[in-house]
Amino acid sequence: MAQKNRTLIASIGDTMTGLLLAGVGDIHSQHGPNFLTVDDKTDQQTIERAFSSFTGRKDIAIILINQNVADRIRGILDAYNAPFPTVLEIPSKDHPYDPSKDSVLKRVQLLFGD
Amino acid sequence: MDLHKSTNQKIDDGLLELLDEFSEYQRIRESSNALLRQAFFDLSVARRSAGYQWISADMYSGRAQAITTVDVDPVADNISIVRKHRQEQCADEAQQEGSSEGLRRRRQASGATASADSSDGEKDEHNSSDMDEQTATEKRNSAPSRVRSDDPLLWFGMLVPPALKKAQGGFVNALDQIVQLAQLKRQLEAKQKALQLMLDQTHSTSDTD
Repeated sequence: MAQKNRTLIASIGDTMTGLLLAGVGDIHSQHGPNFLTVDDKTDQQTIERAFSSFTGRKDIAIILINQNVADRIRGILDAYNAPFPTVLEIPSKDHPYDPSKDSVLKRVQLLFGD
Repeated sequence: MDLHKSTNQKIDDGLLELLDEFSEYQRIRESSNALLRQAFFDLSVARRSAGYQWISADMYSGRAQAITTVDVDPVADNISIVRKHRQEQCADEAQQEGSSEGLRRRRQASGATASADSSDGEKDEHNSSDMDEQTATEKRNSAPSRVRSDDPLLWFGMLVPPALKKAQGGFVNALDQIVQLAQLKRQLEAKQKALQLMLDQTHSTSDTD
C-alpha cells in the first residue's frame, strides 16, 4: 500500500525544460528537487548520487532518464531491478533514441536466446 | 507427458502475449519519440524567438510543485497519469468560498449599512445588489489570474511565444505516452521473469528425463 504514496515523476537529463513545462517538476522542502539537469560539466558521481537519491525516495513512482545520460551510469542501471520507482530511458534533444540499447528489447532477446 | 505438454502450451501462450505487448510497447515508443522530437523543435523555435537567456534553466522556479503526477494502483498494479491542474483546484476553492462564507459576509455588511441608515432603505438595497454584482464580477475577473499562477509556462514570463505553448502541449502529450510506456515496461519485465522461470524449469525437467 506504500506504493499509493508514489506520485512523482523524477527526471535526469540534459534537457529538463520540456518535462518541467509538462508539470513534473517538484521541489520538496526536505528531499530537494525531483530533477537533475546534466551538462558536460556534471560528473558521473553527481548523476549516480541523484539516481540513488531518487530510487530511495518513497514519493517517486517513475524516473525518466535521457538515454545518453543513462549510458554514463549503465552499470548501476543494469543492476537496478526494483519494481518501484520504474526507470525509463527517453531520448534527449541532441541524442535520438537508440532501440538497440532498450532494456526491454534486451530482455526479450535474452528470452529468445538471441 | 500431458503435464509436459500443458507447460509447453503455457510457455507458448506466454511468449505470444509477451510479443503482443512488446509490439505495443514499440508502437508507443515510436509515437512518443515523434512527439518529443516535435516538442523539442518547438522549444528551440521558442528559444530563438524569445532569446536563449529567457528560456533556460536559470528561469526555473525555486518553489516548483508538481502539477502532473501519477497514481499507482497497487491492487491492479497499474500506473495512470493524474493532471492536477491548479485550474481545477482554484475553481474548487472559489466555489467553496462562494458557497460558504465570502459573499454572505459581504451581504451582511451591506445589510448592516442599510439598517444603520434606514431613511435611504430603498436606495441602499439597490446599492447592495450593485455591490453583489460588482463583487461577483471581481471574483470572476480575479479567478483566471489565480488559475494560472502555478503554470510552469509562467516561469518564462507573462507573454511567452506561441511556440513555447505549443512545445508545452507536445511535452504534455508525450508524457501521457511515456507513463504508458513505463507501465508496459513493468508488465513486460514481470512476464519475462515468469517465462524465464518456466523455461528454466522445463529445461531442468527435460535434462533429468
